[in-house]
Amino acid sequence: MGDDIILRVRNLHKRYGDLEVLKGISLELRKGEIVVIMGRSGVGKSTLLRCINLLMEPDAGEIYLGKIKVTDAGTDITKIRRRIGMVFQHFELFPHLTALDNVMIGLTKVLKLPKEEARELALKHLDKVGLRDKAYSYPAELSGGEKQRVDIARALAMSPDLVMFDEPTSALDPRLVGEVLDTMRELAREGLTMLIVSHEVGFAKDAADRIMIMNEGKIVEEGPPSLIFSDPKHEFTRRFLQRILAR
Amino acid sequence: MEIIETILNTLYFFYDCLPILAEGLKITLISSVSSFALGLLIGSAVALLRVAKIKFLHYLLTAYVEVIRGTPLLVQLLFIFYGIPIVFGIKMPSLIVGIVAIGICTGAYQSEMIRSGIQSIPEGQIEASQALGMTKWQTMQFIVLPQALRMVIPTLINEFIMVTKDTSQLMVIAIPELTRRGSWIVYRTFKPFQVFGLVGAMYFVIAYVASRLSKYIENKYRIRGLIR
Repeated sequence: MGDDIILRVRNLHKRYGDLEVLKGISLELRKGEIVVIMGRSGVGKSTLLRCINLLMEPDAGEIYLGKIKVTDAGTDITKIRRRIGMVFQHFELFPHLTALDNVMIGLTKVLKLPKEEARELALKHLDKVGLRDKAYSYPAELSGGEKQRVDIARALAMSPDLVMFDEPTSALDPRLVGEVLDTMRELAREGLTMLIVSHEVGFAKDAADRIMIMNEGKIVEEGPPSLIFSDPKHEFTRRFLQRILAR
Repeated sequence: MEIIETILNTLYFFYDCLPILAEGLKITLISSVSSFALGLLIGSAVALLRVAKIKFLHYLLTAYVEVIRGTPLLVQLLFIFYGIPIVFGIKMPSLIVGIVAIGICTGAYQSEMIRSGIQSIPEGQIEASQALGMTKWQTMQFIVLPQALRMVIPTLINEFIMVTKDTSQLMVIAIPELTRRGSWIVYRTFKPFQVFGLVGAMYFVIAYVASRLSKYIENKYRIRGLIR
C-alpha cells in the first residue's frame, strides 16, 4: 500500500532571515493523485514547491521521492529534478530557442536521448498540448496561453513521476486561462500525478482529489474538494474560500 | 585652377605615403585583433569565475578589474614594457608586449561587459533550467550564455573599436603601427595636417566597418519576435 506514495514531505521548515516561511509542512502524494494547494499570496506556497525540488534549500525536514531521500546530502539533485516536472507562473520558456527546442533541450542534454528520438518525443508532447503547428515558433511569437502549454509540454516530455504547477494561470489574460486548464484536465484524466498551487476554484472542484489550504507556513486544513468547499472545518478556510468565491 | 592643382598634389602626396602607412595599418590591425581576442579570452574567463563566486579568486579578480579601470592604458603599457625585463629578466619583442598589455587591459573591460550580460538573465530562466535537471554548467552553457552573449555583442564590438584606437598608443614603445608611421612622414615632410588627416581616415574606416559588422551580427542572431 505504501508503495504507491510518490512524494513524501515531512516537517519541512524554511526561513528567510527572520521570516519563517514554512513552519513544518508535511504532505504525501500518491501515484495519480491530484492535490491543489490554496492560500493567500505570500504564505509560502511557491517556496514549498521550490523546496521540494531543491531550487531552494530547506532548513529542516525530509523529502522523499519514492524511496529516494531527496534531502540527503549525497543525493544527486539533478537526477531528482529530472523526475519532478515544474510548470512556472511566468512560463520561463527559453527565449532563444523555438518551442520544439524548448521541449527538446531537457531530452537531449539531461536525458541524453539521440536527437531524432528527442525530436519525435518533443513533437508528440507539443501535439498533446495542441501546439504541434507552433513547433518552430519562438516564445516571443506565442500568446501567454500557448507559452504556458509549451511549458507544460517541456515538463511532460521528461516523463516525470510528478509535475508541480506554480500558479500556472495567474499570469494569464483571463480569456486564455481556459485553454491551459483544459490541458491540465486532460492530463488529470490520463492519471498524471500533480501538485498544483492555484486559485482556480472550478478546476480544483472537478479535477482535484484533495485540497490543501495553507496559511502562514502551515497546512491548516486538507480534504477532498466536496468537503472543503461545502463544509470547511477551520475558520480560516471558511473566510478564505468566501473571499475567493466572491471574485 | 589653383585649387585643382592643390588637390592633385595632395592626392599624389597621399599616394606616396600609402606604402608606408599600409604597412602600419597592417600592424595596427594585427595588434587590434590579437589583443581583442586575448581580451575576450581573459574577459570570458574572469567573468565566469567572478559569477561563480569563489571567495579567494573573487577578491583577486575584482582587484584586477579595479586596478586596470583606475589607471591609464599608457601607464600600464609602459609599466609592463619596462617591468617584464626587470622582473623576469627576459626581453620580449615589443609587439608581443604591446599586444599582451592591451589584451590585459581590454580583458578587464570585457569581463565587466560579459558579466553584466550574464547577470541580466532573469533568475527564473536559471530555475527553469535547473528544474529540468541541468547542471550549473549546462545551464550556463545552453541557457545563460547564448542569451547573454547576444546581448553584449554590440558592446563587445564597440570595445573592439576602442581597442583599435588604443593601439595608437603602442607608438610609445616603438612599435611601427599606423600613428607612429604617420609621425615619421610628418618629421620628413612637415605636412601634419594632411598626414594625420589620412591616418585618422584609416582608423575611421576600420571603426566604420566594425560597426556595420556589429549591425549585421546583431540581425543575424536576433531572436525572432523578441524586442528588448
